[in-house]
Amino acid sequence: MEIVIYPDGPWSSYPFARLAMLLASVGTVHYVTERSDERLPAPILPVSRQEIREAGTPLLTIVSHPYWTYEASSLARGPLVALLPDFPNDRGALIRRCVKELSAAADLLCTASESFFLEQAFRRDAVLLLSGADPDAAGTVQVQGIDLEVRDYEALFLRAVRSLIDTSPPSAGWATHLQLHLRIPFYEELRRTLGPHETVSFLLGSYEYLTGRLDDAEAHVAEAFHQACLNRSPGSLASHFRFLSAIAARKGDLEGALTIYGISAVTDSERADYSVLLQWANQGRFALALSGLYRLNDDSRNALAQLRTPESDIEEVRRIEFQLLTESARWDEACSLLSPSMRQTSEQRRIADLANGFRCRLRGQRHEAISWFLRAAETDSNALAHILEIKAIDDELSGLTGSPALGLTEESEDDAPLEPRLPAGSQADGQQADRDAPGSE
Amino acid sequence: MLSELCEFVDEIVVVDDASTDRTPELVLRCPKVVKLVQSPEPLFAQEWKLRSLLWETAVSTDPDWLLSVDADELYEAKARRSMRTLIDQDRYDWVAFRFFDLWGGTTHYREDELWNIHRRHQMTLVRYMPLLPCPYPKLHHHLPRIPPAYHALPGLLSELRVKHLGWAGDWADRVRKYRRYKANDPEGRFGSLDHYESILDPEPNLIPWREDAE
Repeated sequence: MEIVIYPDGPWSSYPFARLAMLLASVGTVHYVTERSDERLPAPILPVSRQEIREAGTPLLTIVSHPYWTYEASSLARGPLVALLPDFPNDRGALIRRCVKELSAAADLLCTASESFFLEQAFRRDAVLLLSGADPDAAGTVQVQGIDLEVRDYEALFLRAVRSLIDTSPPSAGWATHLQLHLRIPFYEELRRTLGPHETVSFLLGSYEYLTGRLDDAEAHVAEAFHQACLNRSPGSLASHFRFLSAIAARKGDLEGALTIYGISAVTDSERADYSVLLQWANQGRFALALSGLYRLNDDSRNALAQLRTPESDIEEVRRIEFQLLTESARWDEACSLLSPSMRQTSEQRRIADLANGFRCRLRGQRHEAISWFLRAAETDSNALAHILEIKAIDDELSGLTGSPALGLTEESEDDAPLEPRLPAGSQADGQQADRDAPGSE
Repeated sequence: MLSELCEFVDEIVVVDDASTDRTPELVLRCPKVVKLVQSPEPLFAQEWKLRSLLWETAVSTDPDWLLSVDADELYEAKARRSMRTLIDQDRYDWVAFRFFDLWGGTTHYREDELWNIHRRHQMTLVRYMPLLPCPYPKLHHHLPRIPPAYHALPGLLSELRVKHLGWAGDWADRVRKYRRYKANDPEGRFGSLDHYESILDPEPNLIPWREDAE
């Protein structure tokens, strides 16, 4: 197995150098660099971006900087792993968007930031925290004939990577499930040491929620809220109390969940959301109400799961599911839902055009992406910024590797752009009627 | 006090903290008193138990709004007239009022460095939320009268006033209170010693209390 690492800079400052060395027990590790003075330790091998394009062998792709998202995902010929250092929110909108898109595209997302780990655990499978409570060795791996001791999260990372390689489609969700369970004793002990705590109790409750221990989750989140109130922490209704509505929903108490959310709805937009939820519940559209509740609690996994129940109204569900998927930067899935009814207003067309543009950009189809962004710009000039972003990312990548951008990715005949679903023989917006879109009749 | 309360509340719940006089008998004469709970032993030194008992008793009546009132508090006329308007809305879930220490009578209140509670607000009127977790911290003194969780909700800081009559008695009454505070808390662990001493100030700064015109 050939493994390629798209790094965040030179090897000397690579934050995951140890994991890269351990990956040598899985396959041949290549480090993307154009620097003539790059010094890589054996068995890590240098590789250029051009060489990756020309290689035909299966790859495990490791991405360590979000600006690599589009190039790496378009060239990936196997599982894609995001190995991300912490990117603070103040790094700018472009990098935040790239982080989001990489997080959605990756088959396995690994991070050293626990807050990011938890945030992603509410959205997806296969996310790992590169940190462990046990400082002792959990085992050994052999690299170049030498036995290296590995910690618990390192062993889990390696097993998850092997699992991606060995399964089709790539799957490592079991690793997340295991790690979520392993975090609970850690926080239980911390809570025993510190006593009830607005952060520790809340984190413990979060892990219990994610692992289905709902009664425990309810008790600890309520405890965390109480501590936040005693500390007069601002915003505790939204940051702590509201989560009890998701727990109530998971326990099957929709009425209680709505009441709790209603208590926490303070701003005009929150109250408007609450009104919508109540309306759905009163109409007997419980799946929509539950989906909305989960979404308002940033639990997009359960929000999407609710939309795939038989009782859901098809058209409205498709629109809501599209919105959820675009919020999560899952462009392929989002665009597959587009239908003529979702392109009626200029705002709907703008959103659909942007979604297609992001989807093409992620596939490396630059020309198509620019075309979609230009269409969106007909009603929203801000869409032009996404075209400029392509160039901005090229420039940033030059800095990461010390090389100029590769330029456009060639499109293959199999990569036909996804068109909105149209009835057979019809035309819209100048598109060719005989161009087949996936799933069209 | 009960008769004034009856003007603007629908029901009254009372917790009697082991009083030895005829208080329970007098309370039960009020037609709006729906529950009287008598603590068999004084809970004054275990404030969280007293507050928890009062809260649980009050919410057992399934109210819409709760007003926490001590036996020596009177809401000014304007506040009594405004009460229905205050609760007939959906923008805020609690109301805080300004409390004034009436001193040596009902015509003046005290204001100085140690006696200025009226410069802050106290939350006493809340919309009851059954699903809001409401434990009291297990403190023996200086507990808020409303469970801390309610402070997280949106509320209104009103300029309506409440007269605290605890210090409205005569000199002898203040001396008795002074001696009780000093006996219970000689080292000032639960309150300020300066504050206790100021009870006996011979010439406190007093400001006339003016009730708003009807």
